[in-house]
Amino acid sequence: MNETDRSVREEFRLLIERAGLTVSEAQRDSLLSTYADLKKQLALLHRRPGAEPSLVFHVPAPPSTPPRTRS
Amino acid sequence: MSFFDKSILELGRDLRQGATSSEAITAQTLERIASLDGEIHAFITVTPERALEDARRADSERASGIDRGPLHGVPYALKDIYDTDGIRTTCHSRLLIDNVPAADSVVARRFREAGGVLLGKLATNEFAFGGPGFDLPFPLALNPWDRRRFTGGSSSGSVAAIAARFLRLAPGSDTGGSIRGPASWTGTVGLKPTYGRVSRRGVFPLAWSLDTCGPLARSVEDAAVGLQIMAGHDPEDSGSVDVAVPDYLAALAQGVEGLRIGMPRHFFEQADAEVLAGIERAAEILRRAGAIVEDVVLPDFALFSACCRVILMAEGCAVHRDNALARLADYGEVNQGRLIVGATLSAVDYIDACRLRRELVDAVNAVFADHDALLTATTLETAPPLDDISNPMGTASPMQTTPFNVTGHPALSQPVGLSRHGLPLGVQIVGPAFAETTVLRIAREIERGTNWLETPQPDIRP
Repeated sequence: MNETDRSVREEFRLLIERAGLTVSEAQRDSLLSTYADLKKQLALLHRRPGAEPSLVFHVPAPPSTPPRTRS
Repeated sequence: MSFFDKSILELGRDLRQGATSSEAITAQTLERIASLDGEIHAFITVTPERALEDARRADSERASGIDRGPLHGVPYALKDIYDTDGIRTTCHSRLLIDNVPAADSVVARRFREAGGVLLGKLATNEFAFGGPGFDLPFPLALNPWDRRRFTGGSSSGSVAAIAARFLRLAPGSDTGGSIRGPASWTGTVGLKPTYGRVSRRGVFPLAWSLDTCGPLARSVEDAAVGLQIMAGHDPEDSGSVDVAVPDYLAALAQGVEGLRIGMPRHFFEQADAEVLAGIERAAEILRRAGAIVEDVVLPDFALFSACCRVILMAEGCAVHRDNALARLADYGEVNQGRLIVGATLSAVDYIDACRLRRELVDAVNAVFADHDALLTATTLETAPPLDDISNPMGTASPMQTTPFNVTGHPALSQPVGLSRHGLPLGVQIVGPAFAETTVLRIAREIERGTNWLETPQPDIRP
């Protein structure tokens, strides 16, 4: 497991814990790929200024800032 | 012709002319279910006493000159998420195994008032959410065309019962494709009306801003009969819209000449060759009938898919939050997974999806400014084997239905023929808001052009 995978796994664990659900490690691990798939889709939803009536969302991110995939 | 193959209107004619009685039809249907449903598992609960009571009442009313319309004395059944007064409504779940509602859902009431004969309650994915499930209190409904393959979900029992020729009409529900997907994989007609067209009061929710009730049926005409009964404003459903309900059956006679129909090819370019051929065949039938069929471009399919998944999962988790915290293990394995992954979504994710939804609605409405309908795929492939099912919400899903849950437009899956392996192929027809008549007219033209109603249905033997 590389660093990114470990980080996604830890993020998933923390979010489940925050939600208050009791989930075994085995069940959590079996759902990791589903969570990773959902994260890919979430990335499509962020930073879409099209429907924003204010101009504030049109301020471009600094070039060095990587796109956020999670809020 | 066996009465199991007669349309609702034909059965109604037979009943009015005294060629048969509702009691006789119902008794034979109950016999067929008793003999064959052990192979298909379409029903969770069969209600023979209620059915025969409904049938005798219909016969008696008809004898005294009362005519309640096309469904009077004709059998139907309800997906087991529709509340039925005094009849167990389980949502196919351990959590509601003993739930007996004290009142009918609005749709159940309308079917009762239309004089229909209730045969029972039909299998679904647990809470119409996750499936297929193999660890639930009732068996999975199987696909009558090939029992090793998935019916699709969640209106699985509804389509299985229609394809098995137990009945012609069953109301289903569609939040991400739960009417149209199963319809496509079982050779049935599935219509998701415009969001707000049909009351959802008394139907267990999956995702409030996406849930839509609509008919599943053997033919377009049967679906029009079903929608006529179901449609109408309900001030007690916050999503219901007060718009006039047209005569859907009358609209079927109008044909498609002059209609302008767009094809978003970029949605379905990855489809199986036979699915693609089915869409082209449908397009050609419509052109020959005088419609203009041309390519259109919609936003990237992945945006619709992501938007639907986030809204559906967030709202679904809100519905189930208390039970997920208190008794997660009582859900089937698939739903446990959905609820766990869904619980990771944030308010910001949901708001982002809602903002994107507005953009997508505007983009589709812009295409409808100069098109009467869209023709696209319902699914990218025929019914998959039960041991090879992808997450219907995930990026690998073959479902092409979610865009029109996001936008709320009416959409119908229409059979166009069989694959070389004998599995049904379907296309999806989408219309502007509240233009179900246009969608039905196009479906009827395709049904006629493909001779679908003459296609032999699956032969089920005990």
